[in-house]
Amino acid sequence: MLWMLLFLIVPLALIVYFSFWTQEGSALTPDLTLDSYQRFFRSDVYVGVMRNTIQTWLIVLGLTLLIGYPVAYFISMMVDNPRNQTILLLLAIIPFWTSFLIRVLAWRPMLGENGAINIVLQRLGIIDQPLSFLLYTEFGAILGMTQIYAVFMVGPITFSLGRLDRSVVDAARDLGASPLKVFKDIIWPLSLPGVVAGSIFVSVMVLGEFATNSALSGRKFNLLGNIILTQVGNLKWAFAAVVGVILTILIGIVIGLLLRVVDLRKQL
Amino acid sequence: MAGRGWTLGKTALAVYTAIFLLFLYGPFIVLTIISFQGGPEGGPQFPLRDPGLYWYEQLFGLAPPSRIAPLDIGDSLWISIRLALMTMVISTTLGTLTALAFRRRFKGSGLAFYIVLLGIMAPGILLGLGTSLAANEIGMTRNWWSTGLFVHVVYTFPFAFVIMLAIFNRFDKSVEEVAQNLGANPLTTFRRITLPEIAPGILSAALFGFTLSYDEFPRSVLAAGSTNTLPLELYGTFTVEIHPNIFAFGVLTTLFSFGILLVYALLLSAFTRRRKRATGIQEEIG
Repeated sequence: MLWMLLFLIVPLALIVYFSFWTQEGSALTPDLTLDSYQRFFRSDVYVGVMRNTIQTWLIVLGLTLLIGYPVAYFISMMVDNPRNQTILLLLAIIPFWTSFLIRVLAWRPMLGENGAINIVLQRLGIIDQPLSFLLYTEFGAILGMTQIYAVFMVGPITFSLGRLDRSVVDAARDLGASPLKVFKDIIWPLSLPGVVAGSIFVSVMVLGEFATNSALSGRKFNLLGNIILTQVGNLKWAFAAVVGVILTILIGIVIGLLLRVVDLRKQL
Repeated sequence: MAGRGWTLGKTALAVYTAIFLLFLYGPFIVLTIISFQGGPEGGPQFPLRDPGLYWYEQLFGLAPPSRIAPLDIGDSLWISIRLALMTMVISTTLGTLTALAFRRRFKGSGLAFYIVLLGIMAPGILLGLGTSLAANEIGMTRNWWSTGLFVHVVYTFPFAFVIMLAIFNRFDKSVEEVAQNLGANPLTTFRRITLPEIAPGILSAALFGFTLSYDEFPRSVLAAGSTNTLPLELYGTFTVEIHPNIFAFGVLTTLFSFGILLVYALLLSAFTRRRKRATGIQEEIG
């Protein structure tokens, strides 16, 4: 516990503290000031990056949920054999076990102008010219993040649906409820704890993301995490700390909102 | 729902799930294929020109020198393995001890639990930034074995802790008490009763500690200072022109991760077999 206090709580607290220090060039002095905050909010570039971050977060969160939910539904509700359920879930989790950077890198030969996707589409005669918007764009970064983080949505939702009492669903069906109604009134509400848990995982990771983005968007498109990195590279520690504080607040708001949907503590 | 057979909806969802898995594995499959690109002139994309093991040979220094410099990753690989081992030992030990303390509810255990979870949830870049600021403040140089190790343990410790907590919750304390009442001293009780029971948990905690640290990237970027762990070295190569040698290395490091997973599975099944045998004997006596 001491380790966690020393190396987790203290560093996070220091970010807040340092964000008020005065930065002149690369020199940092402990005179408390709001200068760095003003610099952030007065700059269109940085406010724009914050908007990008929020937008990327919303898109990736929506995509992972949309893509992951049916998979979780299939594994937990339609595969009857528990052994097959475990195998499917393991198949989805195994990539998590391999290097994150290699998975990001693997998108390069997929998306490039001579990449696999373009070659397949050209062979099929769907396109004449290779698509250039796939790699080194916002699209590439979002696709990469969706692939990497989708499993964090699938896992919790599968567990949530697995605990659902199927006789309730059967009863509703027998009483004549349409599939849509069964889903809307029974399955969806009961899977919400999993949806919220998955959303928290995905949100925290996407909001703090920088590596997938810089590798697949070709650094044309920045997120708050990228700004922290460049600022530290320029020895602008106070400004990096400001971005850190803003990022923390953003994450706090998002988690707070998600927990208002379902209080996970009651679910444990 | 059982026994209804395959409906249209079910088939559609099964196909969908298969496509999802393809989406997860597709890029890696393509990467693997291109790692067999003929060298040294072949580029990091299709088409494959006379495929072979050139890039693998180059990684091991077996290929004749060419225009493309071999990946210089030996040092960072060695750093990453040492760091992962240190992280594994520290986080497993601390995780076990902390979980042991949690067997009795103590004041503030709820808050302590949240702090532990924060270790997983806090974005890596923030943790790295905070740790770097702390190191600057006390005039410490950032290095893989100091600040790097700190952040890695902060990340892996919660996994070890949660695993061990689950193990201890399942664990029947009365067995230990019986052993002690029958005259076993605490050391014998621990060795003969407690340890075999918690060994699979310790193994899992160690697995998490090693693999998570070995592949860790976002925390290390800032916290490891000027030293490069393997993921940092790889990340560095992203910015320059990439060649299939990095794909070949990706395949190898993935195989390495799977190898560790395999060792874990074998050890785990050995443990459970031994425990089953022990239970079998117990039942015979009973």
